Amino acid sequence: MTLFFQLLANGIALGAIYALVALGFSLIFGVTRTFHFVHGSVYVAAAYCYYTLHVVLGWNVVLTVACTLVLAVAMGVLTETQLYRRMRRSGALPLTIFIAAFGVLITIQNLIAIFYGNDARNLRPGLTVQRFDIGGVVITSLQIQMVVVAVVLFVALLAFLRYTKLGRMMRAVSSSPEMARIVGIDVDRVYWLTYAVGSALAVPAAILVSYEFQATPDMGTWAVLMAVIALIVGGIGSVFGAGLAGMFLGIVTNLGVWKIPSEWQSAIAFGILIVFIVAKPTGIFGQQFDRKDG
Amino acid sequence: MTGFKKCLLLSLAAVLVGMVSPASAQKTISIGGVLPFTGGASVYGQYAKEGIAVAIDEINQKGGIKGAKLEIIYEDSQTNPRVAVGGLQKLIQINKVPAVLIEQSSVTLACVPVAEQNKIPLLNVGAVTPGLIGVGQYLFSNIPNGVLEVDVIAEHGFKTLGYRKMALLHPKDDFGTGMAKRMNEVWRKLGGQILGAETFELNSVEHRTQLSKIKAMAPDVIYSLAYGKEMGVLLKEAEELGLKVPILSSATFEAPQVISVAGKAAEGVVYVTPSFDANSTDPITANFVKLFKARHGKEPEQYAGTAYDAIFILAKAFEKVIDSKRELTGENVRWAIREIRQFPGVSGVAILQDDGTVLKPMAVKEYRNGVFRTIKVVRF
Repeated sequence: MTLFFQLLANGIALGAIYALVALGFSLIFGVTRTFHFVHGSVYVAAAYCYYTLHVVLGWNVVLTVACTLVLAVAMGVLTETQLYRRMRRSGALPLTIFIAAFGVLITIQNLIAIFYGNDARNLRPGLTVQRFDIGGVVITSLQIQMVVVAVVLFVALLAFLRYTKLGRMMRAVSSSPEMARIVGIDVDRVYWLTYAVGSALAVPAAILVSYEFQATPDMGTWAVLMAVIALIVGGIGSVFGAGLAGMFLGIVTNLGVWKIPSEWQSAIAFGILIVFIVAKPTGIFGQQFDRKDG
Repeated sequence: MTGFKKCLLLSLAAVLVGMVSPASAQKTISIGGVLPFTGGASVYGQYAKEGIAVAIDEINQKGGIKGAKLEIIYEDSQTNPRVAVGGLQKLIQINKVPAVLIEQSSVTLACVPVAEQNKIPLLNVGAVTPGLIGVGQYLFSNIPNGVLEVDVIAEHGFKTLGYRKMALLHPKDDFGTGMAKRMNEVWRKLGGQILGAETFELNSVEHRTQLSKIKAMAPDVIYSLAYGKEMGVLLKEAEELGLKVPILSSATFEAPQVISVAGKAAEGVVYVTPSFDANSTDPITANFVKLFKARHGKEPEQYAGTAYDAIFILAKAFEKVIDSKRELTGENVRWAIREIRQFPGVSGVAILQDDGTVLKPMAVKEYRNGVFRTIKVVRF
């Protein structure tokens, strides 16, 4: 039984990261209906920016995090204004935009691999984390940080969407861009602001993951795939659902291998995706929507 | 006018080429190297490269191979069989090399058919999976096969250290699965028990699930395999999970990267590697260590020594081919390597076997108080 709780604890920590990535991805998808695969690049770039400034150059944490946030937000906003918006204006199909985004993801991953090499970058040499042993179940201080940061940002994002003017505008655009335009909302502005907020959310996830595990150039692809699964399982358009589904994914992929070999972990994640696509395409918290505009 | 200009340019080019050719009268023999400079096994590629550089310098300073300068052309395998095959094809078809150095199990297995087809010998300086035994007529190893490694560590773990219940933890590649399969057989034959095996993808960043499951198995000992940093990450995670079980490992453990990542968590790991002692008084080894330090400013380790010897084995084979007035082709080089049989190198005398493997002394070592310490040396 100790194993069960250990796997559960590992799953919650991993789920916190999936949830953080899924929050940003889902917010962007909910508002703009774009499969923003570049989110994976933002995530990798954030990890390597943090690594370079803090570990290699020795900058202090606050300054490094600030710079990393600026980079992430800039990448998100530039992708929207320079790529997606141009493509939308020239009448590109959502599929074309999706493929372009995927191309950017692969390109940036390769650029990072060229500059930094394919080797994993380790941010935490030796044993530096504190361990808590609770009846044989071991939790590290870093795992606790991951969960706390994820929960705080999850609540903060939901509050932002509910109680701030910009948050309400995002929800308005999400439910109907046409109506939003009619009531005088500058949809383009809301779009780029959404990319800014969503991209900023990738930063804490990237930094925590790099500390907990390691930074690799291909970490973004995996993160964004998990975010897609969380998006579909949680319900398209539901930020709340994506956050919970991210956590759910982390837990299920860990507990799922309780009695079967660990190599089934990714099969379980994608198995869940297939089950949901077939049985409940709207996800757990998704609303039915049928829209023809982009 | 343009036609005239073109003619002029062409003749000028011809003159230039004519001027250059005689200047490069000294012949060059190029060999190939498909080594992992990036990806999971990159540290071992780097080691081999350092050893090779010393060997090539030494040979060329002594007048090369029958007057011809020796050089090596590298292709980065990226620890990726697909990339490696592309690199090998380029070396064979474009650079026309008569022999290629190679390492890493999956990469070597993937390259063997290409080498067989083109009749180009591969000299393996790092791949150890039991799956390599007898796979091809053109594959030679200067590193002892993992079978030897597993047999030695199993015997040491079972008889000397008295472990009985073992859990296996390894990457899901040819090296990991091949070694684990052999360990499974050998350990059971000795009378031990295998509680289970946990695997992970190469270059995975997290192994908590696997380690948690191993912890629940409550083994006496873990036989754990991984490359470089990943091994370090594994050890660190095991420590963080409170998994306090002795660990047996392979030659891949002996890398500074493992220690820099794992820190104190690497203490007490016992492993087997082809024997190599940088403090040896043997003249061949002492000469290598001196040259290596002069060039790289640090002490060499086993992988560099193995690659260094491999270059000398090839040099000897090339000389044999030239002496026998044959052409320097892959087929003839293969014949010459077969003729060598025994080669005294920096890691003891290499006895080349008919199935392409090699016998060399193996060392049981332990990482204790920050040093890799030899416990005993097993000779065959």
